[in-house]
Amino acid sequence: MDKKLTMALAGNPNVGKSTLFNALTGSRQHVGNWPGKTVEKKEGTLKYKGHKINVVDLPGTYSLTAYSIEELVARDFVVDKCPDVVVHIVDATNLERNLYLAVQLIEMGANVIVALNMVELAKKAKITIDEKKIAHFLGVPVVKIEANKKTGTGKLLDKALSLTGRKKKKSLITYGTELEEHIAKLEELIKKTIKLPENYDPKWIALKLLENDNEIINKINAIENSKIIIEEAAKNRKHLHDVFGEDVDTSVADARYGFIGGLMKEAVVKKEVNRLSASENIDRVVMHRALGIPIFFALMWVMFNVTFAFGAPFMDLIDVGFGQLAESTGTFIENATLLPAWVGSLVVDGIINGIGSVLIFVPNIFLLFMMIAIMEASGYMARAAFIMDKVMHRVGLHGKSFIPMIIGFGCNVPAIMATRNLESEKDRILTMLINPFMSCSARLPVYVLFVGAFFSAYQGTIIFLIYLFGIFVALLSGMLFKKTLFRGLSSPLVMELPPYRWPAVKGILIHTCERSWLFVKKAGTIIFAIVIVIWVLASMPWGVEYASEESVIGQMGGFIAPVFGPCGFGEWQPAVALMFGFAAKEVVVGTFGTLYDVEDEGLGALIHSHFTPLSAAAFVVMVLLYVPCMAVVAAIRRETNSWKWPLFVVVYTSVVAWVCAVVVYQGGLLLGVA
Amino acid sequence: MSLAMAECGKKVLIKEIASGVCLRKRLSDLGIYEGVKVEVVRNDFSGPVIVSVLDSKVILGRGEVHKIMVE
Repeated sequence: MDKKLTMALAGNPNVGKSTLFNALTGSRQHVGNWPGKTVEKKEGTLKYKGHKINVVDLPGTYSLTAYSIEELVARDFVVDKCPDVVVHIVDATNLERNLYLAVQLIEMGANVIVALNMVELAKKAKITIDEKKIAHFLGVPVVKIEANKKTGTGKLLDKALSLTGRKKKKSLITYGTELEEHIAKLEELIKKTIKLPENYDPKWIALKLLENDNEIINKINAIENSKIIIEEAAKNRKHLHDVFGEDVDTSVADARYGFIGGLMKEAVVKKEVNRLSASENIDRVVMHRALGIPIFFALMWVMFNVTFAFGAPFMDLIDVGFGQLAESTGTFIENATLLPAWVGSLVVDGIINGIGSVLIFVPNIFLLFMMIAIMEASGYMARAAFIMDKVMHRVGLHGKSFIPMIIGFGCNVPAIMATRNLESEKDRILTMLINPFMSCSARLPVYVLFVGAFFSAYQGTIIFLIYLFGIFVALLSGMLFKKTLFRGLSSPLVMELPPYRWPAVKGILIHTCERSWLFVKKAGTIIFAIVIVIWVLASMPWGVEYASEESVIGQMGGFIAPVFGPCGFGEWQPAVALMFGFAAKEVVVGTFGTLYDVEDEGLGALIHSHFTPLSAAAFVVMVLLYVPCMAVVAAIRRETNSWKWPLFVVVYTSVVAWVCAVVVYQGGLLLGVA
Repeated sequence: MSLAMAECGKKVLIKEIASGVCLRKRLSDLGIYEGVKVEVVRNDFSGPVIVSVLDSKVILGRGEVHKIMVE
């Protein structure tokens, strides 16, 4: 008979939690978001000795105090969903800090198993751990595992199966007579006056109320007759503060670390080895005061070149493949006389080109994600945040915000997804809002065309300046948002600097595939829908030439063209090209090709006859800054879980782009540039 | 003095963390709370500071280290 079990994996970041998750579930994983949250939820299943075990990977946290979304998600899952077993993965080389979370999990009344990971590394560092003693102190089973070699997982699962049903644990830590008295008093009051949801342990709730835990206070507030409890808790809190001269949370932290310290003395022997670790040697170079930033940029440069060099042949392959598919399908439908001509146009111009325009991004996105995953898993990402923090701080941004911005030079879609590395939601949104100004690779063909046509002598320098201008606008916007929309919400930089580790190949590949697939699935469906809409607009009314002046989109172009008059390009063709650019920026150049009815080679000459150097400059500024492509809008929609921010980005970037283009054109006219 | 002024290589005792609950919690989760000794691994007197505590290293922003009083 198959028995069903739920097993949650908890642990600090960088302890090998994902490695264990992958080792347990293999490819039977499902990645989604926690309901209503932007935090990734990973679930997988495995069968073991006639049991079907559902494994839930909780977000990596240091604590369960619910001060970040990750902690809140993890805690709510443990408290509300009551998993049968909570496996707490612990880094054996860093026991003391790791066990802080174990203590909290046990206090919550969860069925905890401690999985000691990286035991071999600990051995090398001359740390001897007596797991039986730890088990004795904590009152929960402790199993030694090696997640990357899959050793000990069987023993871990056996232990998990043997722990059925929730047992009431005896108190782990005594918080001192004074505090314990207040906890007991409050616990009694809670039991007497309100009806707690069944999974809530009254003692734990009492402690949380004294710790001033906002989430729990809100939860209790929602229960009937709870006013007196909240008031009593506040009174006690104040009293305790007066007695100890420190807040309750400090006393609690002190007691927990004190308990763990005692445990460490009994169960762990550390031979003091005083040598510079490999990590420290690497850090001496990559975090060097003067060399740090150049090394960071050099790594970024390598990352881009690898991404685009290795991605290009695959992109060409997809491009050629879809071109041929479109051609042969077109011919096939033309020959099949039964089908009307519009079917051919829909299939070829709409569907095939639409899917092609989505898939063409996949090689680059896959490679970029892989590079980022390697940087993250190796521990370099934390160093990059440290190095860039000094610079980014000047404009009120986080050091970590720089990483998505750099990725934006490649493609804004993975950049938006990379904002997940930021802890606070405000920083995440702020970074997403300014990211579209980082000039992505799809905009480059436009610069090449226009700059090549008018300023070919200084092409490299001018294109470099265009990129710099994008960064400038992004940073300026960041400062502006920080002073208006996100005032006073700067999140503190408190971050662990993990030791360097070799990334696990399997983990990197699984992670990269997941992210790429998410892109194809989520962004893909929206891109596809909009491509179809554009096809309809370009083909209507029936019988007009595709994307001609008489088509709906041509008429729309003609209608909005006057808006671009002050920018110097008030004809319908640039307006249509910009509209198509919303589908994908690389379409802009191709659209000019269709609209002016030329092959790519002659485009430069035609641009010359339709634009002046000044209006060309204004157009380039426009393309740099205006509305990001719909894939980016879709990504922002997905990551923020609302339409508010993507719409804001659309409006804000349009206004900024228009104003800048007008300033360039009108300013140029005033200065007498033609 | 504040942690912002503590020199590289010095072991300092955390006396007071003058900040909101949120930051204090975050710090204590990583083992930094009143009454604990930390070692300053890196302090350029601008930009973030790195301290070593409980066998791990923690990066603290410039704004944060000003709020941490040590001796």
